[in-house]
Amino acid sequence: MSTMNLKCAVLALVLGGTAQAVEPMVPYDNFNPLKSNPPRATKVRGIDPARWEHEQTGSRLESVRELAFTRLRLMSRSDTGASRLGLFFAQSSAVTALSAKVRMNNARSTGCTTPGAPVAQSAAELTGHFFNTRGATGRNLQDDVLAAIRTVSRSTDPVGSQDLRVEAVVERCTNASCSTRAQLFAADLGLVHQGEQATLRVQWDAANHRFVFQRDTQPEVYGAYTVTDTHPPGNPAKALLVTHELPGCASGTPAPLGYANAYFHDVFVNASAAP
Amino acid sequence: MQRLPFLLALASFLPTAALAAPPVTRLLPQDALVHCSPAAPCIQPTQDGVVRTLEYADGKKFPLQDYVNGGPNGELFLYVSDNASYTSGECNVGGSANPCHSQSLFVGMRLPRPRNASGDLVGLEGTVTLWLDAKRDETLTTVSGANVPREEDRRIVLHYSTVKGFTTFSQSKGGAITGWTPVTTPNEAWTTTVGVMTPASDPTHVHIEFEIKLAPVLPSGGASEPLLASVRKLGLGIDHTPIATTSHQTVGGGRFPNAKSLPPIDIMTESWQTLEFKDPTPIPLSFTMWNVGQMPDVTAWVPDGGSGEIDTVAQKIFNKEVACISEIWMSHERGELIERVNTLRHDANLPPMQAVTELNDDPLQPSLFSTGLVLLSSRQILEAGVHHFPFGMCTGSDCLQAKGVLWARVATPTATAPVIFHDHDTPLLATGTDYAEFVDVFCTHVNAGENTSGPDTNARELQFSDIKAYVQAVRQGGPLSSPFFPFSIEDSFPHGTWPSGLDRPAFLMGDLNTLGPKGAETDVGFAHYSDMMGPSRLGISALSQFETATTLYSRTRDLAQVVSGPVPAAGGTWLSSVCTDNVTSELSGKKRLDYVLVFPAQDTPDFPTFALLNGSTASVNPQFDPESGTVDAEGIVTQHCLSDHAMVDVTVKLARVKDVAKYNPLKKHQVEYAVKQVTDLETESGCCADWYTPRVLMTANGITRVNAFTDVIENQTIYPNWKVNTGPGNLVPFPDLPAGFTGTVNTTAAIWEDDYGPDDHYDSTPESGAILDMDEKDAHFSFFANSGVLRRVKGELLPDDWLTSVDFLGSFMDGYENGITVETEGQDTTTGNNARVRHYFNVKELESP
Repeated sequence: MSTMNLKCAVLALVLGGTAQAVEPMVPYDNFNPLKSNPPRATKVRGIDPARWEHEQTGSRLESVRELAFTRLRLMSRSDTGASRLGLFFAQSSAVTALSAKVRMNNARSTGCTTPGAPVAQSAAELTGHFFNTRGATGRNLQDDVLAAIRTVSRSTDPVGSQDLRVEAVVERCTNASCSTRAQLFAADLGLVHQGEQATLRVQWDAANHRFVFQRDTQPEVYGAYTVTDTHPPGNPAKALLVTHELPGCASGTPAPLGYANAYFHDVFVNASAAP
Repeated sequence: MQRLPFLLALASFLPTAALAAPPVTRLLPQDALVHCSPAAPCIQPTQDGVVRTLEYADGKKFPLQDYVNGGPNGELFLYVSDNASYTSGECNVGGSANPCHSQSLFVGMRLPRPRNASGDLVGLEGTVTLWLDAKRDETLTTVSGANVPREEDRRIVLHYSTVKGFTTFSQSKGGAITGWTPVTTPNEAWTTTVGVMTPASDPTHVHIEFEIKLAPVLPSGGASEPLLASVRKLGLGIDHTPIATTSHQTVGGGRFPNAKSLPPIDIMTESWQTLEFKDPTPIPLSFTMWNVGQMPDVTAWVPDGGSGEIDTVAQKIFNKEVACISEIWMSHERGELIERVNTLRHDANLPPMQAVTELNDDPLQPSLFSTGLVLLSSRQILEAGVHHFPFGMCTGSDCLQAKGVLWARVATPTATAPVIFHDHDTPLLATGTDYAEFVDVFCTHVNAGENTSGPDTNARELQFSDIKAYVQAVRQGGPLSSPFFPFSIEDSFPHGTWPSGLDRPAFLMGDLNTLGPKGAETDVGFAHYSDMMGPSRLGISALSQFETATTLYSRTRDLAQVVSGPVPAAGGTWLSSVCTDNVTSELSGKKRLDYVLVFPAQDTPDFPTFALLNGSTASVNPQFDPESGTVDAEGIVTQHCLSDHAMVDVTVKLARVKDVAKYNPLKKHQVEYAVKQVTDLETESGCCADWYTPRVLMTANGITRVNAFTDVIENQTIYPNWKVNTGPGNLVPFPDLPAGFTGTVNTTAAIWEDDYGPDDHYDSTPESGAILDMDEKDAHFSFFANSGVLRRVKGELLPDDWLTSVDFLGSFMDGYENGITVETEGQDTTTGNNARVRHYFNVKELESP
């Protein structure tokens, strides 16, 4: 196949993607300062502070949040609790849909050695709080509804496996800090090989009371809910993250470990959130 | 006035540097005990007056340049035999003189013959003088009186004429107040024979050949010391002065040491060259080949070859010298690897590595559509290219990729060795890189699949033939033959031509997916390996004529077949996808797929410029991920491999066997200026600039030529060879520099990037504050033909700016046979549009008629 033919085939593949359910998606950041998409009036070195703010919770042993050539790289290594590292959209309130090319280059999750101990997990996520079911008070996150599409490594994965799982979830925060949640929807979007790139999209389809999830060109998956979705969330953040959920292990036993090294680029958002 | 005091007074006007440090050449004597045997006989020059080049293959070759008359250059060969006597059957087997002679210095000269007014060759007539400083150490340590000829030193003078048919020579000794007196007894003479010939096989040259015994019996207290174990040095000066006539050209002069301004002086021992009888000066280099086993993205069905990531791979290679990394399929991973490597080097206070790879930001380009190769060098890359195998030369899933070969012309350590130039007695450190000091390095990854006979191997063998053709094209200095529909625009670069590298070994690193022998295994049982090395594929198995003639240099082609250490066969590189830390002890049982091979210098009946010394080393090293350990039921931690291939590390040593020619203002010259490399320094990250130039300018002899190269080239680093030159290839005549030219040549180039908005004029000079935009951003250079000096200069706003030096790059009087190259970097903090640019300038001697 010639270069030209192959390019045409790929172009057809891109243009032939599924129709958008709601607002059209537009480029937000491709993390390539030299050939920015969408174009910028002036070149910006590194991560553009006008478009992104830092998100960081919990503790970790090591972390990287940087522009790596033409991608955003998020790497985190932790041995305790829940933690999040990444970037959230500077104008998150306007964001109702986000997509990005995500590549979990490497991830490992090691749980406790005690039989029956909770599972350890590490993930690369596109996530956000989209609404609150009862009307949030201040920064109280209780009843915020969040949706995420993520690539996950779990301590229960087969030993030596290089496969990760792509999942879609809709959850409701059950306390003020959102450290506990109730699951409203979950879908398995299949396995992805470590290092394999996947284009992930999560989109709030408020009119139909559902979230739309999509991996690559697979059929859209709809996460319907029955809760009230008319109140703004306590925290409107939409973000690109690597996260860890690690259990506490018994004293004297090896600590759990979470490691995630993920790359993001070609971020798109709903048109009304365009920069 | 006595001659000696007069000349000594004259000598005080010479640049002090020359006399303070006489030039040194290492010449390892051929030792019959070490180098020769009936099974592997040596070759020694046969003292018959005919200088057969390869008879001197265990010696060294030098140019003879006539700085007085101009004309074509001659050649000088030096060869020394050591103390051990030769036995019958171990030297010059089948020749006319057997056995060979120990303790002898052979001097061979090929001198161009002049032509008469009709253009016919005529005879040559002249004088050859040889000066021999016996106690060289005393001269070098400035022992009182040793700076002039002493009793133990000798001068041999040959008067000859192939026109009149006479040959006379005489020998003198030092120690007299006038410098030299004839030797009076046979014992005082260093036994010398000489022959002068015009061989029918070489009608354009007169050959002169000396044999001088280096261990003469001298009077008590005057023992010659050249071959004493504690000394092993000799001072040697040679001058050939042709007799001038009015009836024909005067050509063929030459000297040793070869310096225009510092000829060997009759009574100044310090003006002669020092021959050190020891191993040639080694030029060390090391090469690393590693298939990092990254199989991401659309090849998700292929298991990852290991747990290696950019971070861990970078950690393993950032301090290598030259590394070929394969199976990094995506552009952004290759770009990130280069970034990460250079971050680690920055943290370790090391200069950045330069790289050859394919980078692009084309969203429609399939991520696998590349060679997957990155060639990294901690030494300067002078030229580079990317070549993809032709469409269809692949099988199976390999056809989803675009495998091929990368080329880098890498500067050796000697290219940047300090050179001090005395500018009116002010010492200046030349900042230019000597383009003559390089090796060509290739990095490849060929068709995978079965290693047995069949379609996979057939495709692989076609690729070997394709590699051979590409290697030949770039080593010979281009041009690259552009197919009607090239695989990629990148494959057509560099444009034009560049200096040949066929005069030295080149190196091919790669995952060749061909099973090879390990340790003492022979090729038997490795038929495809033999095919790969053989004439119809890579074509490197045969010995060259020089290699056959010499006993001092390596004939090895496969540098990692035998690994250093206790188990020479521990060279298996294919570790399989199930690889743990116990693999280290299993390497001799593993398959060998990854190689560092040698392409020998082109096979000619002449000396190469460089040869490979014996004593290369090799190691094969699996790389482990300390954090990938798994614990078995017994609690034993097992590390996993970063890749399913082991890393191959090789060290080699090159040696120069042919000395450089220098700038001779009395010759006609072609002048060339080129932009060899452009690297974007504009941003911390991102890809990639779209480069072009509207202006590559040269002014020479009152004529200005401007070339524009407006086809955009996209990459973080490009190797375009945008150039301008005198002589052929110009639409409007742009004459070469005539013999005796004494003016200046001025050059400059502008570096631009195509952009969304207005295009960006990149800054490539460290200075700032100029009025003129071109002076602010573009580097400017001036060559001063009378002195051979190349300088970076202030700019072009005022005529004097072309003469105002801001950096001294070097003098072509000191060599720089293939040109001077230098990098400049912009410092524009306002726009950040900065580039690092490699400039190249050469004055190429054109043969006199």
